[in-house]
Amino acid sequence: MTDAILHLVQQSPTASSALRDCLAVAGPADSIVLMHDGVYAAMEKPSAHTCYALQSDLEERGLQGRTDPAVTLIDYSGLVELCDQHRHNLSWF
Amino acid sequence: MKYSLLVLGSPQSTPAVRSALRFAEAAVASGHELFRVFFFHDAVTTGNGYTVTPQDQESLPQAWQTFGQAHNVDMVLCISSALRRGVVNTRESDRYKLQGANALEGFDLSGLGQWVEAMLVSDRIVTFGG
Repeated sequence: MTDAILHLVQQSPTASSALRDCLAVAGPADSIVLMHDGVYAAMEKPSAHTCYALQSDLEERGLQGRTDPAVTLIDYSGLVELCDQHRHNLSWF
Repeated sequence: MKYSLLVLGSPQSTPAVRSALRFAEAAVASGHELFRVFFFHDAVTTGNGYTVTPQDQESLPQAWQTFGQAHNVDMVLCISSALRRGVVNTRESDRYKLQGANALEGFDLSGLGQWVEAMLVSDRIVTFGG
């Protein structure tokens, strides 16, 4: 269990300021999950934070195999597990 | 662990409602309790029983209804969001003298106090925006 925040980024980095706003306040120990249109940011790891992307959202957008190897791919069970491990999560959209 | 979900985006034009359902299924499969799902803003149309989904697509209203009943999940539609969008149960239909009710069984119409309570009693809350 960690007090670091799990950030859930749900909008595309080109269509919304969600990712930028998140990175502006995220602490160094925080982690970022890219989901929904947020997965477009997985093609190039957006920051030094630990970064995850939801595999099914990548596949729906034809981005499988095109993600930065430093971004860890997860499924919904993996997302639940990350929420368990973090006392706080915050959605950006 | 006890979870509650806040769902905001429209089931037709955002991934929020479907994504929240996939999360809910995974949470229950991992042995967690899902205390309450609060549908707010455009997400309240998930409770509209007059929605007809093409046969080759997943019907999110039906899928949520089935999931909620199978796992005894309290599913709440924000009453003011729902009234604005024409989602009413028999009680509200009678109150406002409307022609009928369309809220699906298994969804309650209630106020934001239900979400405040969910935040107080849940170990984790997760928001599905858009």
